[in-house]
Amino acid sequence: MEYMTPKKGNIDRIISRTLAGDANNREEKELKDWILEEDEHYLEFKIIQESALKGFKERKLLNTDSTFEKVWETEESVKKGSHFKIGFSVFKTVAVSAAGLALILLSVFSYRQLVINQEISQIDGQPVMIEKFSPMGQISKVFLPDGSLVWLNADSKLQYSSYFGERTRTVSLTGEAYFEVKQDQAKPFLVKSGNVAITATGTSFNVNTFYNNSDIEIVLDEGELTIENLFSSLIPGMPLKTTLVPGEKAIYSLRESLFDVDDIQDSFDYTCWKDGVLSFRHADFETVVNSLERWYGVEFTWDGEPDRGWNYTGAFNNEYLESVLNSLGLDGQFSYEINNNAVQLIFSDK
Amino acid sequence: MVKVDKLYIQKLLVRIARHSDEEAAREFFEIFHPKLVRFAAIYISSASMANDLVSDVFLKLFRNKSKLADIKDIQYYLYKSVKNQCITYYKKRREEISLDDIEDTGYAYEIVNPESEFLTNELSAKIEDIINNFPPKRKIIYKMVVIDGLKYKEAAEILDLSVKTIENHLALAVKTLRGSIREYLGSNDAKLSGKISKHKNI
Repeated sequence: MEYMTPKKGNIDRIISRTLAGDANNREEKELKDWILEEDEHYLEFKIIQESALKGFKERKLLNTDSTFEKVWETEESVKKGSHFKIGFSVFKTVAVSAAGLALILLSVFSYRQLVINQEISQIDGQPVMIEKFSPMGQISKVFLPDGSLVWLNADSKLQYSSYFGERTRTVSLTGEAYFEVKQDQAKPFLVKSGNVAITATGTSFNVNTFYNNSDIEIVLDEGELTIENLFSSLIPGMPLKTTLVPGEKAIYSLRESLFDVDDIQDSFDYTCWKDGVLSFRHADFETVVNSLERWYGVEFTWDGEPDRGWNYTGAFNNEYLESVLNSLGLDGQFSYEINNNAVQLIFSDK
Repeated sequence: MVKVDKLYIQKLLVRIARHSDEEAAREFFEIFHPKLVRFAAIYISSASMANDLVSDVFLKLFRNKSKLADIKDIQYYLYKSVKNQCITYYKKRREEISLDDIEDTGYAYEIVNPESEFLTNELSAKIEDIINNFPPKRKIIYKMVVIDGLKYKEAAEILDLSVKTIENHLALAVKTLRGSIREYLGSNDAKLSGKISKHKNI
């Protein structure tokens, strides 16, 4: 009987089909013949098959506390909580990290309280997430229980547990903040933002997650910092831990999951926002618009095309939006209209 | 989690659908939740957000638990739902993202209970290493098809790739694995060759 001998390279296809349970009779026969050809063939196949059958377990992602209770509603709880419509993705942003539906409901009730920047204290001894939120157009100063100080830039959010300071000092940041950390060698101060963890002891530094579309920029004023990619231990060949000394900044690129450390001339440029100074360093149009939107709590629209070559450097010390726009307009060649919170830019076509 | 036994999962689903069985639901959740968070994380850069999106899917699924047993292929259904949830998430944020660009967010595998007939601990570690170093796309494809047992077509649909691409990646994955195993055996030949003669049937 004659049949086609497997073409070179084909066997890999047949093995993968077999592993997927998708091989037809002819392919099964081909595989069998190939296996009988050499002992090595048998071993190669068997080892791949065994490793696949054994199954793989995924190493758990950090930052994911998934509790079954959060997704399982009993009959009673559904009846009682008919208003419980808020989904997780919404919910988590105001979240309480505690188990049990009772607490989930509570956190939904306290939602409004939280966004207007108030604290809620412990409930039944469970740790509760405390959230500080600085809305658009406003900078807030947060006093942490351990005596550390945090300046929270506009449209930024700081979260920490009600157990903060008892054993650890951990906060999560979205947006931009300046930290003045109280010295305590025994309990390092940890800032988490996305995949990045920054560890400090008695240090002043600025963390900006607005930088260049959610890349993270970290500037050190005083002391020493360790910055770590929380995923680094999970990605082979990625030893991502870097230390920063004063006069350096690190940029964590989300795209490449890499840190880039650079010298800086003067940290003032990066941290002056906390003293009410709005500063730009070689900023393109988008960056300027985004900053102004946050800083003044306004929304921009524009007519015409901004010049591609925008590269603005300058600083404004507690100025009105109008004077900032007047000054920018000279360089950027636009006029503007302000209507409540809406700002329209009109670009002149050269 | 260990390789998914479809029949067993189906039994869990029936228990959940008919009797609102909490223990079955918990087990089902624990099998799939970590898997799906890993999957969502290839599209969503924030691990906690990926986690929340997946929790959303489970919340909705359990709300309609009476229909659970009617879902034909739960694994495919879950992957598909999570993918849709990711798309919705980006739409809400009015962000453009191509879900074709699969990035590696530290998907890492460990073989469960490695020690067996041919699979020594050393060899398992080697295989884990090879798979973990596959290009991101190949890694997720290998996982979905070979480990999770999705059909080529299903994986293709979930990942927005052609069946041809799935085939090519899998063939290359097997090729790489075979090459490394062959190399490993070359230096550890004596240990294993004795075992072959005993069972030479698949």
